Amino acid sequence: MATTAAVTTFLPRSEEVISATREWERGRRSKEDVDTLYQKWTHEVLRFEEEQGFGWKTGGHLAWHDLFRPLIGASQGIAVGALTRWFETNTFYRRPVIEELPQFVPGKLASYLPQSSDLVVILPGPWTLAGLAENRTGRRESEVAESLAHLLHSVIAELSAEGERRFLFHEPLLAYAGEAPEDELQKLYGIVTAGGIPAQFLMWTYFGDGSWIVPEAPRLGVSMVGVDLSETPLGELTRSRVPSGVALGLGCIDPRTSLPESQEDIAQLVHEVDSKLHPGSMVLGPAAPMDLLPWETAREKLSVLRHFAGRSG
Amino acid sequence: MGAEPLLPTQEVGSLRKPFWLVEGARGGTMSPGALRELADNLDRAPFSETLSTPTLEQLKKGSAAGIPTDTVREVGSLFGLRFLEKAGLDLVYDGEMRRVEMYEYPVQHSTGFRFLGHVRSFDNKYYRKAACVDGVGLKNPYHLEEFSFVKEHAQRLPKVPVTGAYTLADWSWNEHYLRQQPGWKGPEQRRSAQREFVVDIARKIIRPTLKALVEKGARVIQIDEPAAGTHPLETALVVESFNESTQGIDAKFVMHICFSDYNSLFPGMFEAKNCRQFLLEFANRDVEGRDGYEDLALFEDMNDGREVGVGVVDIHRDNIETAELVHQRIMKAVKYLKDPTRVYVNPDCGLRTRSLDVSWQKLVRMVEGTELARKELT
Repeated sequence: MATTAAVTTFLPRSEEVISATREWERGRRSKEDVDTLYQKWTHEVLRFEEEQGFGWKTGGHLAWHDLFRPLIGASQGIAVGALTRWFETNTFYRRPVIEELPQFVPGKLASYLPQSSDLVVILPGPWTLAGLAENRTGRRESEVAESLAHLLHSVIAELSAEGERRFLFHEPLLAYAGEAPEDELQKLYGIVTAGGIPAQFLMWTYFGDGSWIVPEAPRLGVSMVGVDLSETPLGELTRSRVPSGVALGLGCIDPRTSLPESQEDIAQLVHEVDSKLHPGSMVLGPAAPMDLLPWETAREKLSVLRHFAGRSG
Repeated sequence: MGAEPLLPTQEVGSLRKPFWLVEGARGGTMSPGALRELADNLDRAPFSETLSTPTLEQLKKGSAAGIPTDTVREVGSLFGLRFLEKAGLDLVYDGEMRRVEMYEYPVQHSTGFRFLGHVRSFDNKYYRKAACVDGVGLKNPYHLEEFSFVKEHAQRLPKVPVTGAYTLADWSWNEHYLRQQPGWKGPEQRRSAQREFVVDIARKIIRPTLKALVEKGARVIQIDEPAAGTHPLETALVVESFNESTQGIDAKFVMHICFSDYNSLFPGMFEAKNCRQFLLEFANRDVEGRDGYEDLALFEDMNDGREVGVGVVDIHRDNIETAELVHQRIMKAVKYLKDPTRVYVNPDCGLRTRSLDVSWQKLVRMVEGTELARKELT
């Protein structure tokens, strides 16, 4: 069994970036200044991810205001809607409002991503995107959901053509709701991953028990499913099944507490999961979005994962 | 301060701090905008107290140099109080003019917490968040000086707002209590640790503070629980924290909750035995084609006769509700609750995100609309 570790969610902005974005909003700092700081801190994050020996890099997605915003910017037909609570947290996102079936606008999303090898591109999963968007088109929900899946497919096709090889779908709604009609889910993922795109598709779930999705991975075309181990009872997970060729993601760094996880507890957890589920490989990462913490705290908590990066046996 | 009229009107939370107060508290020269705002609002908050006159006169001249910060803040408190009284409210406070916000202040008066940094609320908005790193305790009861000042100067019944235990816990990270849980911190361990954290805050921070406020003469205390609806499965914990906080204290307790799914909170919240009034937001959800007050049927269905503070003006929009619209909304609430003596009238929440001008107009229309409803009902 091979284990690796990686950042699988957004990372928090540093205090320096926070201060700059606040000053920019108050008209006391230029947009260029803020962009320069985003670049500087994206490099810091990439360096951190490299130093930890993580399996891939994210750059933190620091400039993304929420999971959906850059995608809204890469489309026509979706408006930025009302502030809405982000599941059971004290943070909020702008609800995507589908005013008409979305059209892909090329060349927009890549500007949000850093130049780096081994990058993973985090995107909203089609189920969560459709479930959290507001449909004002007057069309059926399923039709709108499929159009959003097509939009995601276009984004991925473009980024793949530019060299991106790893796409990670965030599906908190699947875990939070605890269920989804299998055929509908499969259909959406079929649209997103269609066309032989030369890339790896991964899924990370959080804010609920995502153990039920793991056995579904092959049918969805994803080669990894991550579960939030602060919300998924270990007993539920170990009663699940990990299909052959699917990596199991263990969301074991919890951003809902600043308390650092102990290396020993994680090692024991890995041992228990391995002995009961025998997954071919495991990826250790955050249990939920790390931008629920300040940067320094997130960095400290994630650092414990370096002990698990690149282990085998 | 006589008996309350039918449909008492009340404030909920903070007003936006005037620029002259913010700049004045820093000392130095006042900006033209701050001076203009001061001039524009003097009629809305007539200061007659000698306490404020010399300070005001100096501020009007454009300088706060040499004025002690506490004095400027007292003037701010008096401004907020008179602003709400002149608008015609029956229950008032001072617009929380001395408070930075509702989380940091209580935490700073407590032990066991350590601020770790800023986290994003949304977009480029952030808040400072603390971790509970040790068992919690109280340095000293807070809001006492502020309340005494308001009580001394209020010409209407003062109602003091206090952030609730559940919200303080939910907006903090729980390290200490989680650390006590052995082994892997899964869902069960996290929930157990959170309950200990919430109940400890209720017993060791909120209860002694409420007791001290009552000893200072507080008769109506509003426990603010904006986080109450964040975790739909934790209603019992919100209730437990409220009951623990208020246990053995003789005062009228009000619980304020807003922007939540009331169907997930009620009827569970009725177990908050010391709560005499639920003060809730409704205007925000009362839009064309939807009766925003229909959730009030929950109160009737459950045969719970407690008072309800009914939000009749939206705090997120600048458009000013007409007196007629306020009147209609009150009558809707009366229809659902069946008994007008159970109805209190208020904005959905604090008006701090609106300008003072907009807040003033909204409050005045609210009072006028209440008058229309009173006439209809008597």
